[in-house]
Amino acid sequence: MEPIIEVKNVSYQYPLTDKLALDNVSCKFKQGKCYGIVGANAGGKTTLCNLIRGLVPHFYAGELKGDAFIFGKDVREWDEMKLSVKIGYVFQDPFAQISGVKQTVFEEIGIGLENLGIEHDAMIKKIIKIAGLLKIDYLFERNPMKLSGGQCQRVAFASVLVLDSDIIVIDEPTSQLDPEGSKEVFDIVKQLKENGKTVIIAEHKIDLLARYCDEIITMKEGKIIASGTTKEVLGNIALMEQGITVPQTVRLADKLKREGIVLPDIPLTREEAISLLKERGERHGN
Amino acid sequence: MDSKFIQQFYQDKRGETWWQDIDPLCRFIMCLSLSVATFTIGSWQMGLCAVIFGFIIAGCTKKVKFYMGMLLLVFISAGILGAIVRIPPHLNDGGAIAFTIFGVSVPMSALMNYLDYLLMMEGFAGLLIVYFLTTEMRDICYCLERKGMSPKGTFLVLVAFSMITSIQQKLSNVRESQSARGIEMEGNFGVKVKTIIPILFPVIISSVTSVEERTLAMNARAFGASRHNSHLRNLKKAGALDIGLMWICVAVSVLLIVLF
Repeated sequence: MEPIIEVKNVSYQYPLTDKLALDNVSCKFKQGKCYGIVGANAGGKTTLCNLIRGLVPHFYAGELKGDAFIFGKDVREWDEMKLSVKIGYVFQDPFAQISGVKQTVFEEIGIGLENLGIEHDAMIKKIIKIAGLLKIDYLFERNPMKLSGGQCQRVAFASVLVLDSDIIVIDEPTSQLDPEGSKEVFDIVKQLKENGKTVIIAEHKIDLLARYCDEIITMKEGKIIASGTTKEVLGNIALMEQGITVPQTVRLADKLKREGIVLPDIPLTREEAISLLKERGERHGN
Repeated sequence: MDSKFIQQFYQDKRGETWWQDIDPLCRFIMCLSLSVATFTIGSWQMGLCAVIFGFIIAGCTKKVKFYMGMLLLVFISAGILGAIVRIPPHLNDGGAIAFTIFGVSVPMSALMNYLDYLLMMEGFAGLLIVYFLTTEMRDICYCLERKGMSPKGTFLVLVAFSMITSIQQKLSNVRESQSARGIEMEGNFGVKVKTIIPILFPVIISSVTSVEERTLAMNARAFGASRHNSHLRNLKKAGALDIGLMWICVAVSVLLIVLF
């Protein structure tokens, strides 16, 4: 399958800074897959998202070296407005994503549809559907400027999902959500993937990424230090030395290994860990 | 989910009162033409009529308190300015003396001139105040868009107005934070002014920098991606009654200007 986004040897520096935000970054994204971008703060995750979305170099000035292709076309050549329809982007700070000009959550979710000139009744149906999916229909009448962090994050997410973009880039979508809310958001990500959407998530909640992502990119100081399938990357305990967190189950497997209890495979999720422990127990007659 | 709430988006929005039910642009032209007539005629009688007209609208739309508050501000500022620029040139006019203050005799002509000016200002401002008190900015923008103004232009207007609320909100947050740190923020008017001044400039600057956030937020919502926007909330189109009332007001204003 041809990649729909291809980043080749990209280096990028924000204006008025002397440090590279992206340092010789190369990666590919294929349609219908879910990608996780992990790494410590200031590692370049958000800048990579901005590049994929075209905000770098269109919105943020600065020096961009290398090539980035979106649907086969250089990001520099894309009309930013057209790109905003093709690629949905949920920002890190949900409060920054509220337009401030709509008086109800219902209208706030629909603002993108209004901008696209979608027909009135179709707009209402789409808003109701997305709000139901994100369980925010009870907020319809509320003022979007007076929401809690978690509610605001869901509204921001809904307002981008409603545009039905081919690619959805999500920068820390669960930073304001409780564990249950985070799981619900990732369940929606799973549904998007099943519907053929490409989802790219920058996130710290490694256990959720391990469960839902197909591939992982790890970043540190603007560089990609590891990339590959979720198992290849997050199953690599050595990444912890680079400051990258790995799932709890991987750390458990590593501890057990050091105690002389070797599991048949590296578990990425709790269910996998339970299954592998049972399997090992049965093998050893425990 | 409240289906009643959703249902309102399927119908054209109507105003809550007879006044608000008139098309916002028609109302604007009505108020503007009467304001211009009040300003041009410049007599206390016309000014008083305009103030009363504004008061009736404010009463019908339950905005009397705000209307009177705003009129009081106009009264104070125009009153001071009028006392400086309108009374002195007429002090040497002959005729009956209205009153004497600090040894200065103020003739009736000076007083009447002052009253003309004061009520003209009250009437002129009052009509525009009552219009903006009873009309939502988004309704005005919607009508302007319907008349051909670009969605980008109307968005700019809405953002500019929402900045006022944003600054107020930020100011309140900073004041609360300062209070929590033990800095005295409450007290008489003088204390309040003294405490607000140091934080006012950073708050305004931070609100201006939030423009970047707004731009990005709208960028993520396909802002400008289509030449023609659609609308979730639709206002009813201006009917014959709206247009008729508008032309009556314009005609009355022109007639008054010509006659007086």
